[in-house]
This record gives sequence, structure tokens and C-alpha cells, in this order.
Amino acid sequence: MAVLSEKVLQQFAKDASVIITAGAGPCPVFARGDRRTVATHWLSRETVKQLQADGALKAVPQGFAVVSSLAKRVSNPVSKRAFSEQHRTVTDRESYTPDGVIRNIRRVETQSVLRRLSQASRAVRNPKTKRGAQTVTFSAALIEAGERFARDYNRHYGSAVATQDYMASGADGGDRRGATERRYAAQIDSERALSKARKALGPKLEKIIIEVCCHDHDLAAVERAQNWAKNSGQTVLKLALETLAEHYGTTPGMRH
Amino acid sequence: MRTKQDCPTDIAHARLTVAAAALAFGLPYVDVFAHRRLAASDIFLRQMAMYLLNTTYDFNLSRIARIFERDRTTVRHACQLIEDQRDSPVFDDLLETLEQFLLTAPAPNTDHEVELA
Repeated sequence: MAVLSEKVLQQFAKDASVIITAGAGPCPVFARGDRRTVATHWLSRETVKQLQADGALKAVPQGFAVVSSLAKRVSNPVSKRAFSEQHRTVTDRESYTPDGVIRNIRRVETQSVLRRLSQASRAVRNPKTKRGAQTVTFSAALIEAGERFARDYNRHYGSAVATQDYMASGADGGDRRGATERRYAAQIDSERALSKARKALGPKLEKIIIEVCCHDHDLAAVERAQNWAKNSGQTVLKLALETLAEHYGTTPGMRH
Repeated sequence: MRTKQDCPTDIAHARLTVAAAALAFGLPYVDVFAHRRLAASDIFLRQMAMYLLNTTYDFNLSRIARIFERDRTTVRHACQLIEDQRDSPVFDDLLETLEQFLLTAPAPNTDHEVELA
């Protein structure tokens, strides 16, 4: 955010500051919107307008506050993230939407929904606390099926927006001739693979798979969005993953 | 002991300062001299006026306290509060403008016996 320094925005986020826009002239910024205290900052009207135009502010009853996504981003700066990467497997990847929009996301591998479900499935229930294991278990075959669907999904939407051929000339057993054709062929293949998997899932079950496996959305959020009963998401996800496992043939010893 | 009735020009200066501050911040003019509970924005207006009287017209704290019928330490607190906020360049610019305006404003005419209080 070029309009204000990251340090100022960090303080806004920390104090839950509210920018009071009533009246004229510069706008005072009060911590927690408490006007009995001294204004922590003063912003010009132009700055407030620029912040609004950038989508950095949301309207609150007293004035404007920093949107939660920006507050979260500035209060977790790169320096802190770098430190956390020493302890976690963090990967940067792109998330694709059906509209072809790419979002760069940073993700802790071990904390994706599928990985957490598989770890919880392996955990042993503590007899004293009755906690630790789940009632719905997710086998390795189910997790693999989910991850494979996510790969197909990313490959398809990634190929829809990619305009570069990254294959090195003379390597990978080919050269740059026919790159455009290869790109379209790959796109057709990925589309075919994805549409087959989606057809196998059906329109009802594909929603939860796309949300959880491809977009890394929380199960509880999906339950709320779909108006499902609380904690029913795991059962629906397992049904969907079982269908996918059957489609991809990820269950050991089984051939379809 | 001098009372505020003894210094009508001081009150004229104070009213001008309050009006200028109210105009700059887009706030309605309120009777900040009254002895009643004021809204936070009105208190800020009074603190601004106290500070501007101190910095622009060189009124000492006791003199300002007499105009507003407040304690001298209340005026000192107000001046400290506003001075602290001048760290913000936006606020500082506005105060500079207000000070320039008040310095160039015509001084009250003391030749006539005008009841200003």
C-alpha cells in the first residue's frame, strides 16, 4: 500500500483504528474508534479517498476501518513469515478459478484440509479425553484421489491461462516446433481428464471436492455456504472422495 | 483579581480562534465557554482554541484559563495534547494554516467601548 507505510497500517490493524471522516479537513484516526482518546494519526481527505479506492477500507458505524484481509497481511509481514518457514513446509503456488483468474497463494503443506484429515485419521483416540481420532476416517487412497483431482484441476485451469511454453529446446526429447499445438493438446487432455472426473462425481459432490481439495477452503466454511448440518462435511467429503478413488483407481488391489 | 469581563479583547480573540478551528474541521460552532458537559469533538475544539491562543497570540496559561473559566493545568494539558498531535504532518499543516490566518486577522478595536463579553 503505497499511500501509507506498512508500519502505519500495522498500527491501524493492531489498534483496530477507526478513521473519522465526519466534518471537513483532515481525518483523525482513533484507536478502537474511541474519540475520548488522542488521535493517533491524522490523514488527509485525499489519502482516505485513495485508501477507499484501493479497497483498503471498510465502512464502520463511526467512519472507516482497515479491511480484515489487509490487516491480516500487514500484521503478518514477510519477515515473520520467513521465520515460520524454518519450521513448516511452506509452498507458493497458484490457485485458479473457473473464470481464469490466478491468485498467488502461500500454503503450509501440512495444514491443507486433506493432509489434516489424513493425519487425524491415523491418530489414535485417547481413552481418557476421548479425543484425537475421528469417527470418519480418510485412507491414503482417498487422500491420493483428492490430490489427483486437485492436480487435474490446476493443470486444466493453469493451461487455460498459460501462454508460454516452458519446455527447454533440445531437452525433454523435443524442440520448440509445434509448441502451440502441444499447448492446445495438453489443454484438451487436461480438460478431458477433469471433465471425466467431474462427470464421475456428479454436480452435487464436485462442489465440496473443488472447494476443499482445489481451493483449500475450510470444511466448516463449505458447510455454512451449502447450508449443511454442522460436522456433516466430513461425511459428504468421504462419499465424494470414495467416488473419486473409484474413478481414479487409487485403492490398492482394485482395478475397475 | 482580574475576571474575564475585564478583558473583552481576549474573549474576542478566543471566539475568533474557536470559530476558525470549527471552520477548519467542519464542526458546528458551539459555546465552548459554557460550563456543561461537551461532546468529544467540542472538547477538541476548545483544546485547539486554547493551544492556538497560546501559540499565536502568546497568551499565557493563566490568561487562557481565565477566558475559558478553567484551571490553568487544564489549559496546559490541552496544549500538550495538541502539541503531541503535531507530529502528524497533515495535522501540522492545518495548524500552520490556522496560525497564519489568526495572525493576519484584524485585531479587535479597543478604542470603542464595545461590550464583547
